Amino acid sequence: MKGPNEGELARAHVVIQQYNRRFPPMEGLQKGTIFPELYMPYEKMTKETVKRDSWRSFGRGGRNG
Amino acid sequence: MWIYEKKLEYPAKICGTNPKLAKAVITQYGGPDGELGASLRYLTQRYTMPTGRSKAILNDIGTEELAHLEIVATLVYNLIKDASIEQIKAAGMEGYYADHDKGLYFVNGDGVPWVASYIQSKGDPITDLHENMAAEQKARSTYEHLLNLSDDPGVSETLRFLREREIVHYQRFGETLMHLYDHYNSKRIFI
Amino acid sequence: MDNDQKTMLLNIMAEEFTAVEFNLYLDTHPDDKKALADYNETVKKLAELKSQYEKKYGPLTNFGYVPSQYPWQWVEEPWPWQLNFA
Repeated sequence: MKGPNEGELARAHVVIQQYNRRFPPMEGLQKGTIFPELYMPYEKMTKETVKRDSWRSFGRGGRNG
Repeated sequence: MWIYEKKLEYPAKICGTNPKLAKAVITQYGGPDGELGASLRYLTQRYTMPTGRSKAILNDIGTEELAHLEIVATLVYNLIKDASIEQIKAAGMEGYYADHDKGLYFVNGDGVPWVASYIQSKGDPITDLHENMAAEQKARSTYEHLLNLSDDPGVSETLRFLREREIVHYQRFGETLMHLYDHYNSKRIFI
Repeated sequence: MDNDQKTMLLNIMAEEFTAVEFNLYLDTHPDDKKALADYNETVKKLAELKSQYEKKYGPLTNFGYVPSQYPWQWVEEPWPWQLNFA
């Protein structure tokens, strides 16, 4: 949904989260967040992945970049 | 004012003595992108935030970072507490041991001590929020580097928790920045 | 620390972490009714868990938040960095 400031130059634009569902407490603690949409696990560098740009691993667990 | 709760935010896990790993992990205690810098940065910026929301989020994330500082300390403490002199020598930790024994000190992985220039409090809220978003990304990257180095599954689990927190904090600071833009836009006076 | 105490502490950590997450979300979304209701539910559960824990094992906070039995329990070990959940 576009806000009134969408598309303005020389400033950052961050999408505001909308809470819907959450992980149960123990799962949230283990994952580091209770919000599924913010859960972005890290895939450890292996000999295969180390050749790729490391920034690709952010947000998608490393394999889909 | 701060109240201390006698428990960690997360159940830290350490699977064995490992001063070599401790030497790397300690950067998130006293290094450039570690939790001490994060706590002090946000807690010192909060005084000049212009709205209740921005004061609250700086206060609360700053407070949570102190809890993370404690978790990193717990990892380092447990990784070195049972280390023999031979293990300390093998880990290249002689310099640290000479000055601190098994004590916790604010240094990075090479023994460089913490310094206030790791943080900024510009007094300009838009600037400060950008500093904070960058800080969270730097912390996330550092935790990923530590995860690449870690051969202790318990420590890795704990590092994963701390890394995920940086992602959430980044989102909150981003939302706060959007809120500040709105705040300043609504304060504009049209002649 | 025995396993019963560790399990109780784990449950408190999980519930309190949920509260922290809602707290940060509400700081940037103060008008979210659902989040606020869920936060208040978490507060209730957490208070219950802490009360049960503190009755058995002593205070989790000092500086006037909860009473202590004799002798002063706050100085008891273990302190949080001495616990390993591996």
